[in-house]
Amino acid sequence: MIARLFLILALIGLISACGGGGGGGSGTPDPGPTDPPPAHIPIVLEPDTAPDPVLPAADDADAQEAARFLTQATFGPTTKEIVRLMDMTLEDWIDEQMTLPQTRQLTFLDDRIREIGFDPFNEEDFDEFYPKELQRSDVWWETVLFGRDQLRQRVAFALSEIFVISTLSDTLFNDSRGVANYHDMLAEHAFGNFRELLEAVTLNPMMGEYLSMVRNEKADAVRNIRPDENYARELMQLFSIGLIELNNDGTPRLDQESNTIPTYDQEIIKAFARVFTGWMYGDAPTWYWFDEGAASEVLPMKAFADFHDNGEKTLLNNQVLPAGQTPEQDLAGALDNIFNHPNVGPFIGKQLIQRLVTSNPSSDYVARVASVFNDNGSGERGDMAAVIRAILLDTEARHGHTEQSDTFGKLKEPLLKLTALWRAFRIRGVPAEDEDGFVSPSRVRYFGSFRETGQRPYGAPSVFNFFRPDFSQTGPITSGGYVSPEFQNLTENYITATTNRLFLSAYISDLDNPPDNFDALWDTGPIQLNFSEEKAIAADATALVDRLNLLLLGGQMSAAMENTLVAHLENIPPDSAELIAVRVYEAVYLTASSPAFAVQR
Amino acid sequence: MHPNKSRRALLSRRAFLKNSALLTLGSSSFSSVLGGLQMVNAQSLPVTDYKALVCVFLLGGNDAFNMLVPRSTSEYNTYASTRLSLAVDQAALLPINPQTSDGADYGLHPEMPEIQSLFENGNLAFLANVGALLEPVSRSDFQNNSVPLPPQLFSHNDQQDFVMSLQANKPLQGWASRMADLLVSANPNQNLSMNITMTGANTWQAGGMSLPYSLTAEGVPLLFGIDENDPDFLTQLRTQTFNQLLNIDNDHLFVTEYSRVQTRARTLGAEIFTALEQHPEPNTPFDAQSRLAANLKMVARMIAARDTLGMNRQLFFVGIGDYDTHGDQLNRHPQLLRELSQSLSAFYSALQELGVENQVTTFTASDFGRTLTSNGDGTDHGWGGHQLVMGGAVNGREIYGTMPDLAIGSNDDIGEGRIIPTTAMDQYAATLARWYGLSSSEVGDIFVNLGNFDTDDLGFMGV
Repeated sequence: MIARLFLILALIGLISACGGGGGGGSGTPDPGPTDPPPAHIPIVLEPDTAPDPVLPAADDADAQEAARFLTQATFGPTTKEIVRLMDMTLEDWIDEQMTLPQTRQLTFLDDRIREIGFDPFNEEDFDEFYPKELQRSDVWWETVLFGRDQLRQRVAFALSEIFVISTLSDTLFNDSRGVANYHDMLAEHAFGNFRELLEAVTLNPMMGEYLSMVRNEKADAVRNIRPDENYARELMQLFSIGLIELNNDGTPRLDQESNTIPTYDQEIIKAFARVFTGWMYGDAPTWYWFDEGAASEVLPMKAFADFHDNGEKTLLNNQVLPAGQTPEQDLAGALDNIFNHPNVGPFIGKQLIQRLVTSNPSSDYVARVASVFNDNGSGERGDMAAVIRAILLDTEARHGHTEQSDTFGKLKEPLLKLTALWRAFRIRGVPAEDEDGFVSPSRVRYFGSFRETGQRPYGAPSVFNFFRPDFSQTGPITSGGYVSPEFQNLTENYITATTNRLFLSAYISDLDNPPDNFDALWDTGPIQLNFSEEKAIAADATALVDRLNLLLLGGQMSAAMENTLVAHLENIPPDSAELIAVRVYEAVYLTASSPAFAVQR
Repeated sequence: MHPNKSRRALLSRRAFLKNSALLTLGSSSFSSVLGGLQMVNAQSLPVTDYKALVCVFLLGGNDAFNMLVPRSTSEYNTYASTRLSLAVDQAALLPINPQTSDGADYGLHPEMPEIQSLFENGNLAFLANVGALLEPVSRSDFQNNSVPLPPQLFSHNDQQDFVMSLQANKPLQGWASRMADLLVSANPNQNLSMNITMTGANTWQAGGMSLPYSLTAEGVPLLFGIDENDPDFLTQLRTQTFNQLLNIDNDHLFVTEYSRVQTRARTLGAEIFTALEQHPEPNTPFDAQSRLAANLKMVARMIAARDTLGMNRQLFFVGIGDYDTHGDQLNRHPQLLRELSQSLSAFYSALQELGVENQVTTFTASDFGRTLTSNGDGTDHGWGGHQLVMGGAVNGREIYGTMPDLAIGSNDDIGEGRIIPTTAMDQYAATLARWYGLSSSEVGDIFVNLGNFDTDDLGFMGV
């Protein structure tokens, strides 16, 4: 049977990766249990190699709640974190996360670029861009898989799907440092104030390039040019208030004829376009300067008053910016104007709920979160830490899976599905070898995720992200009046290729039979997963399934699914180490590819 | 043999019989054959020929005013004084010679020589200044807010939604989806959707009885390790369990829907994979570096496999991004137009190779046109714009509709050179739909704004 299995793998071109030995990442002795490092220890991106504690049974209510919560608040529960959280309150866990130092991707990226022999500050050779992007991708994956600041990174990921920039567009060509820094900026403001986040996004040169605010100048009659409207429009439509006026609970406000009410018109867009004139790279010596480089990408933009339209401008709700203001004053006034629009709380609050917890929050849930956005209890508007707490601790987040058992939750987007699986089994990278024989240390390389899953960090098709918050899949979802954002990306080709990535994760990623080094220029490397805990119990099929139930499904596996899996596994006699391993691979693949694992509940 | 193959053979036979003098003899044997056929398809006369529409959607809003440009001096000068630094050099424009003239000469962007050839050879037409309208709009109508307008003009996703659905109110159903619902019996194969998308979910094909089928330029992936016909016993068992797991948990809306998508992907994937294997790739070279070209090549391969797949009517969606040229337009837009020209030309050659160039019509659409005025190094969201239609059935070498006045402040301009469309997307779509096989009444039913315009057939399609 094993031989047959490997024959199949060979037929689909995988067997070469299965050859034993050779892997540089194997054989590292486990150092034994350790306490989490204190905060002052330098942040590293290292896999978890310590033995796991005993995982409770899947029917343990505290364990279930911990696993469910971690599915919403992190890139996937691990045995250690489930067990640790069972001894804490959710509030304490959130507080702890919010004080952890931030994993900064730019620092790691610069180090890695040097490691592969390039200078991060020299961007003259365009051929270096692709290998640099591979490094940036590795750092993103390793941050979300290994980083301790899970909640911050998960919120940053959510923000990256609202404040979208994308290297898929040529406008961000050769900007790896800038994109890594943009991520760090989102993560830095994840628990800050939304007004500051808006300003940081607005002045980030990557957003400046992506939505063409950099070099945007005031109207010039001689050249017949007028201000660029791109950023002005998307800032309002996508990043803050949306197209129509909302009630605090996220439902549309209606006029007397039951029509929705637009939040702005073209004249207001033109006024904001004039606000956002005069901004240029932070290290630009003059306005007409085209030598921006690796340093420019990470500095906030700065203003050149001569190119700013300082005329009077009428913004939202007829608020007027007086003539004669500096670019900085206009920008501050305009961002205040948007930030104080009553739409922001429900508009942003609902999207964050959708990214973290559930696609179809009740209007009451939205209203509760929006109210916290409006006032954190101490009179502060836009306190993101309070908003995140409100979202995760809300009664609907905690009890929706039982109170709305047929609709609560969300389809896992592919990136989150894969991180959940990989974190559960303590993923490690695999060394990457280049043409000259130089071997980089272990890397988690999945820049090719776009091809397989339709997703890549900072690689959305457009500013409208991989999916829209109001997408509704034709069929029962639409006819029931529900939205299903992540289904927009669940095409036939992506569901198949993503399911195949799950298959490879289960069958050719075993740490005990490590995959070989991979070609450093290829965009998708093998990974190593630690199935030792599962192998130790796999002789008992029920115990194995029970473990996966808690670790992957938060204890929500149906009895029918459990019985089906156990029956399947019992066809494989646990008579040898190889057969035990096959049991584990089968169990992991069939659980991970199941419809139950596809949905976060 | 495909389960629908025998039925398809019968239908073809019926087409033969219909044209045969023997049929008038009314012999009992033929009557019984026909009786059997009517059991097979009790609906109206079955569709037996092949036709396909290919929508190439230029995502972001194409600056079509730099694609099709006036060349005669007076009109060019107006264009140049409006566009200034963005203007294409007059001498560089590729001349075209439409069948009829509005008094001006026109040319194409210098990066589009292939489109020039297709036009001059009569296989391509332009549609001038078409866009999103609910009813005709004049400048004063717009200024006085006296006529209804499509929702959220100038917003990308709203205008994509409108152009693809031609509906002002949600829930939206795309007009390809509506055509597919009406012609659902045309395809012997009822499992595979009439709508195929190369670039994922889109409003044009959404909202109807069947979801579009999505594939990529690389073809159809098959699941690893899942195959009930595999000789390996464990694989058989795994496949059985995999299938069981797709069916046992159906107490949650999203879980059930996920199962449906996985099941459909697996069933159709195997069918399409097999069909594609049976037909060689076209010899026509396609630029492997271009996503658009690669996607169009796969469309050609799907068309090559049409009989194997049992498809008589197909609607293909191919999106191509980055047309939102707010910045660096002088560098970016020519590259986009070059890719468009080369890819469409390769696609047309492949269709000729397959002998179906008269049965496949390719057309462009976009979010909107762009402002005539510049923001310094690019253009912003506009309204009307030109589109192109390509195919052997197109009454080519012609510009349909009315070219707009490109002077700032003209009656076509609502400000900053945002041009009011003079032909509606509904008229454009209706003309294509009629060629595709919809009756006049069906066309009237599915394009609800059509009655507000002077004609429902722009005349650019032959039969």
